[in-house]
Amino acid sequence: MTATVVPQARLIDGPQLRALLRCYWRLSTRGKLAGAIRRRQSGKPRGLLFIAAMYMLVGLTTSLSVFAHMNVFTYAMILHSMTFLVVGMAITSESGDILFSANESDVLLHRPIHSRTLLLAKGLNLIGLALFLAGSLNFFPIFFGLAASGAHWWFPLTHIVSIALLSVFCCAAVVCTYGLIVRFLDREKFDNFAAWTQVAMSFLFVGGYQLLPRLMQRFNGLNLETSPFLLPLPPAWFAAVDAIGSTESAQHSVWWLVIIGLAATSVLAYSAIGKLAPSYGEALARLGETRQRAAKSKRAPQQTDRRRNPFFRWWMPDPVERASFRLAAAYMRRDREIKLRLYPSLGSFLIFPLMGLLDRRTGASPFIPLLTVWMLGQLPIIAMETLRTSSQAAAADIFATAPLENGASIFLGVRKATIFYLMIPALCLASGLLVLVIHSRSALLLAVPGLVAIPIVSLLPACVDTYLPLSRSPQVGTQSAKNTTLMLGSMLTMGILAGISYVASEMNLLSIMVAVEIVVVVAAYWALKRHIQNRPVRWA
Amino acid sequence: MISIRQLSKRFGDQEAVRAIDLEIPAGQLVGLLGPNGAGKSTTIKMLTGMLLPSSGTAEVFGFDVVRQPLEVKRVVGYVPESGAVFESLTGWEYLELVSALYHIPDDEAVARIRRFGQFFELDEETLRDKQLSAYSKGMRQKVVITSALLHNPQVIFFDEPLNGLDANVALSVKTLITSLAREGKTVVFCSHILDVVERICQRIVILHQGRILADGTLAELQQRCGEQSLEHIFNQLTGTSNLLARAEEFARGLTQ
Repeated sequence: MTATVVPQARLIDGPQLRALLRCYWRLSTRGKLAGAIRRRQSGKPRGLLFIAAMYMLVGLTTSLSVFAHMNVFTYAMILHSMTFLVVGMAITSESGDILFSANESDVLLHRPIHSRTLLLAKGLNLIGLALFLAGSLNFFPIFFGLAASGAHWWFPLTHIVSIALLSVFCCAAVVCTYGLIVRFLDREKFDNFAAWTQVAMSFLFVGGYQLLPRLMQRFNGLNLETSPFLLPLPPAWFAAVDAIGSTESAQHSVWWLVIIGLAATSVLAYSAIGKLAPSYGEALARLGETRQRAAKSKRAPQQTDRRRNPFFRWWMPDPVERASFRLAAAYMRRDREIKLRLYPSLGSFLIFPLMGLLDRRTGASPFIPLLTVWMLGQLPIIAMETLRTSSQAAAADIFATAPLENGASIFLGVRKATIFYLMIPALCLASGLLVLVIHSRSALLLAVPGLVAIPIVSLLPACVDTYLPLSRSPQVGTQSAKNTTLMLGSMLTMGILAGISYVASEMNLLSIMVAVEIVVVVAAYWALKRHIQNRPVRWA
Repeated sequence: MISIRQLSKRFGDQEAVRAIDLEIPAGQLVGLLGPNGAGKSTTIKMLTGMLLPSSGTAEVFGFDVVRQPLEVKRVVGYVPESGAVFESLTGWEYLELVSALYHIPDDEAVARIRRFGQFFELDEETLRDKQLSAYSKGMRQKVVITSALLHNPQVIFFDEPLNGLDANVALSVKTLITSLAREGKTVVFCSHILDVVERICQRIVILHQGRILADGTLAELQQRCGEQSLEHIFNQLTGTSNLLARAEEFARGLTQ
């Protein structure tokens, strides 16, 4: 066998790039998606196909706004804002797994791949995912756009181009942000900072999205000449592409938005791949270092104290539950992978109610306290779903070999960890804000039905299937699918609860409703807990 | 072939590798031993360009691991202890990916994969059809070893390569490793199976707490320590004294 003749070092290596892209495509489309197509896994559509259907539904609902006599720019602005939020959040929560997969280091880091080639391959993989999500979200709106005033028949084509540009922009922004951060951080701070950067990015995406309705309300529609504030908003840049491309009556000033959008996308993409790739290579090397020193814990004495803490012993008399509590707490605090998935997922659940609370115009809305309490009540369920997945899934065999009658204690320990570390602090903070901002007693009382229902919600992860922490391998798109499903499910439930509460409040029956709800919740809580405790563990 | 001078690696305040010096000529098969946490894997990762050294220099095949990492990576093959692969790819797809990363032409890659498949008795149909997640540990390890050797590297690092292999395949791999060294490849072999190291390695380096404790042929180590087997030499240099008495006392405590 002769040694292979290889070309001199190239920054972007075409054959390597093609091979990596083929590999990432296969990795992304197998597992969940392939399982859904071939019906191999559980016979139910899951993962990416499921999220595509959900996004299509959301897109269909949004596209109906076109019948409110909108012009192309306004309609496209709504679509791009929605896409910016959804794709931005999804890319942010998936980027940790795609860009910094710890499993990849032993497979790829010793291969002769320039960091620019590797980063470009991963960036294109992210763009592929973004296009898939954006395409699903805009599937119906593309055609409904033909009904916008002044739209030509080629609006769908223009919109596909503008959506592609927006997807590239979102991915370039995420990659660029990471590149900048890893350039200036040492290994010690990288893990924590990366997680919190994602949270910040989530806040930016949600914050950007929240600006739209406020601008529309303020300017009574969208018009660049009367709304110069549109200039720094990315959705406006790409909506301008639609306006220029598919109408004849677009204002000349809209060209500025297009120019800003194209320039920002080009600069970000060039910076991400062209300038920041070396930092990315170093960051990957740092990840290997971080994993090696993970065993050393500076917090061991505190944990020992907590184990003996009478409160914890009273709250969790079962030692299995306490052990499970400690496992979940340790992973939420220390594990890079969990932190990168968990904290960005919390972004939307934290920022929506907080923005509502801080918004003076809508602060008086009777539903804001209910929305706040309900959304924060979802934190344990999101955290528990995130804690189900880990690249160290093989280690979860420890639960299979342990002599456990059922998985209830393990689940309840994880549940209590998420309540203790996430929900209680968030609810305390929100309650303080609620009392400060909302002065209407009746509005505050409307939050009580939401508060009462929270204990039931946190039992749901173990009701359908055996819950074991860290027992599932991560798959691309899964986190987004879970977040979106939870978000939509929560909104729907909250809407129903809010409606019933409002009617009860208007009829002065709120206290009776709460009393009935408490009885129902106690009964349901008891029944669900028994169901979880009686079911034998089913190993995957 | 491998030249290490004052190579160190620090993780925070923990020094994993402490100023080690080592020269390994071409065609030598070196056993790198040490207790867990001795710094073996960290040293190998620095030599394969996966980790940056904190200080010191290292050259592999004449290339500096810090300044010329891509050149180093082209001439080394590495079998990681973790046996990590992309599990959603089939074995064939994974090996095709590796071939492409080393610029092996398609026809040549297919020929090489087939040759390794025959050697390791990997059924081509299984390689092409089954995803790696469905492979047994031994089969997966065969694919990992193939992926490390596919590009015909000059320097090969084996980190616990016999993990999960049955006795027959383990024998094939051991024979392959000695044959590769005989063909002029430099081989660094990390293992906790000391009798294998004793039998196949021409030179043995023992690391402990990031430092080289011993370096020489088996005969030299036997002479130095006054012990016959490598196991006893290793235990004398790095292990706990009175091991047998301690183990018996501990077992008694467990059963009481």
